[in-house]
Parts: sequence; C-alpha cells; structure tokens
Amino acid sequence: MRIELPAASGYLVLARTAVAAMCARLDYPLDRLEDVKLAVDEACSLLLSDTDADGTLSVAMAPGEDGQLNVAVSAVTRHGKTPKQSSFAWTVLSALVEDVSASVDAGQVSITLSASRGDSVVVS
Amino acid sequence: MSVTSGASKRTTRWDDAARARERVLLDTMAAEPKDSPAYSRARDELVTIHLPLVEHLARRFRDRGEPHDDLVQVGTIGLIKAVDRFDPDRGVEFSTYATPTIVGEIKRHFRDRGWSIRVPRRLQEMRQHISQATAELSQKSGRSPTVAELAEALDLSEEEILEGLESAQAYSTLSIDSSGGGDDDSDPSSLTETLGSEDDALEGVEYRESLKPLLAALSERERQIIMMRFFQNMTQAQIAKEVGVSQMHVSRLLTKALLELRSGLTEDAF
Repeated sequence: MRIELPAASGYLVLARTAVAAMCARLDYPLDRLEDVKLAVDEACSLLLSDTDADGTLSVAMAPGEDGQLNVAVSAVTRHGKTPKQSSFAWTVLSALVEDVSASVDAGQVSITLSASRGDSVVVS
Repeated sequence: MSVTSGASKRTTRWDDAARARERVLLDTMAAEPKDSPAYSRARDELVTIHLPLVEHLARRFRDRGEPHDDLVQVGTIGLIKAVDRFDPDRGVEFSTYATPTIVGEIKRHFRDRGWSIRVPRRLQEMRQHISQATAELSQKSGRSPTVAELAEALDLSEEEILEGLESAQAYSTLSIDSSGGGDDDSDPSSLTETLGSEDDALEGVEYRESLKPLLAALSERERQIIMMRFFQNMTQAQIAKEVGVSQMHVSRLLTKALLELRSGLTEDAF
C-alpha cells in the first residue's frame, strides 16, 4: 500500500491514520500502535525538514509475516543524503521500532522502519 | 472552610483531632533528618490523611472528559509536593497551602492533555472510554489491548477507536499553546539527578548540547517519559506503570514532548 502526500506537515495525519489502521489490522497492541504511528510521524517530519514545499512525500507500507510491518517513507530531498545516525531524530526512531535503515537512490531518500507486534509485555 | 451550623460541631471536633495529628506529623518532619524512617513515616501518613482532600478537589473537575482516577493520581502528586514544601513557620494551615498545589497539578494535567483546545464532546467521551477500557483490558491480559479488542469491549467500530486515538493526540495543535517555559515541579535535587543520567544517555547524540536546554524546558514528567522511552527503551505500558498515569496519557505526553523538542531543535540531521 502506498500513499503520496504533498510535502507539508498538515498532510501527515493521512500517513498516521493509514499506519494506525494497518497496525490495527495486524492486531498490534495499543502501545505498539502508538509507537509505530509516532515513528512514522517522526520519519516523515525528518524528511520534510529537508524537502522543498512543492515536493512529494511517499509512504509505503508492507505487512509481512507474524505481524511484521515495514514502512518506507521517501522524498526527494535538498541534500539527497540519509539522516545522520547521531541525530536525535534517529535515536528516537531506533527506540520506537525494531529496525531503522536509510538509503538514497537518485536523490530520493528513503527511511525504512521495521516494526513488529512486540513481546506481550506484562503490564500489571 | 468556615463551619458555623450546630450540626457540624462533630466535624469541628474531628478536625481538631486531625489537625493536632497533622501538627505532630509536621513537627516530626521538621525535626527528623530527611533520610530517617521517622521522617518518611510522617510524610506518608500526612499524604494518606489528606487523600480525601485530593478526592474532593478532583471531583470538582468531573465531567470534563478525564477519568476521575487519573485526576486523583495527578492530584496526589500535587499533594506530595505540598507535603514536601510546606513550611509550618509560615503560619498557614496545611490544607490551605496544599489546595492550590493540588488544583494546580490537576489543571496542569488538563493543559498537558490539551483540553485548552476545544474537542467535540463525543470525542472527549470516547477518549475517556478508550482510556478506561485500555486500563481494564491491560489489567486482565497483562498487555496493552488491540484495537479490535477495544472495539469489542466498547461496542464501537475499529474506525471509531482509531479516530478516538488520533484525537487523543495533539499532533497538529502542539507548541501553539505550549508555554515551553520551565515547570515548577522540578525540585533541584531530582533535576540534578535527571540531568546527570541524561548526560550519560545522550552520549551518542551529536546535538546533545542544543538538546539539553530543550529537555530542561519540558516538564519534569515529560522529560522523565522521554528519557524512559527513548534512552532506556522502556515500553509505554511499563512507563505508565512506573509513573502512575494511564498509557494513553504517556502516549500523549510523549507525542507532545517530542513535537516540542522537534520544533526547538535546530539540528542538522543530514
């Protein structure tokens, strides 16, 4: 599943809603769902900060086995570089999902988030 | 609170007894070293005997879309602060001193939750139901519930739950009304403590020097939650349990704090 959004933060609600619905389909517990939503929001915002206003942000979601979910957020950015792993944003992303990676292909920067349903954490 | 009618004489006498006990406890706290068992026993008892005050004050805020239990929890935090800060020499009653602190904490909770933004009543109620059901289902199964489970428990569609969850966040409305300024709930000792461990945690972050003042501008609780989630990798559910607020509240504070950091941080991430 893939959505293309104008590069403006006001449209991120669409990305969040889509990813939340996908997590719900995959039976994610609520805290994981909120984490993935926050991660997608963060990844999108990160790319937006380096994208021209008339650009496009693309969000692709691919559910895998056992509740695995890969979300790739990409945009043609000004620098055409992957985010620094020493940035705060990257630290945040790494904490929110199981795996984060980034790549560049002809000026198009992609951040890929891999999430899973997570362990059944004992709450009480 | 003036008591005039004859019917409340008994209340007055009870008040006298309670007040006398309160005095003893306050004197104990003033006399004993802070790390002594006698001090912490007196402190605990002072908190316990004033819990009805918190209950009473929390009830003033009912019907505003927040679960009563959450209000009592944050009000109790206010009460604890009041106990720790009260100076008997100032000559005011403890309850007089504690009331604004407790109410302040409850109001801050509403501010944290972004209720300054008008939210349709239907959504307010839905959030409240979702929050309660989440707590109940978590209690039962030992993990955070799924959207399907919540939908079934509340007899709502999954779509409605998702809508409720999105509305519970403050994605689009942040930083507009966020004061950004420091908060009054950071007593110096805990602040130093937090900052010390923050230094270690932020070790690998390139822009930590510009991050630090932003973290310092968050409320103590937001900072604590940020550190727990992003640097100690605790789950939202674990943080909720540790901090004593609902998981939805953790989620919201996290989103809010992150947005504040993001808007303030001018790191060159690329």
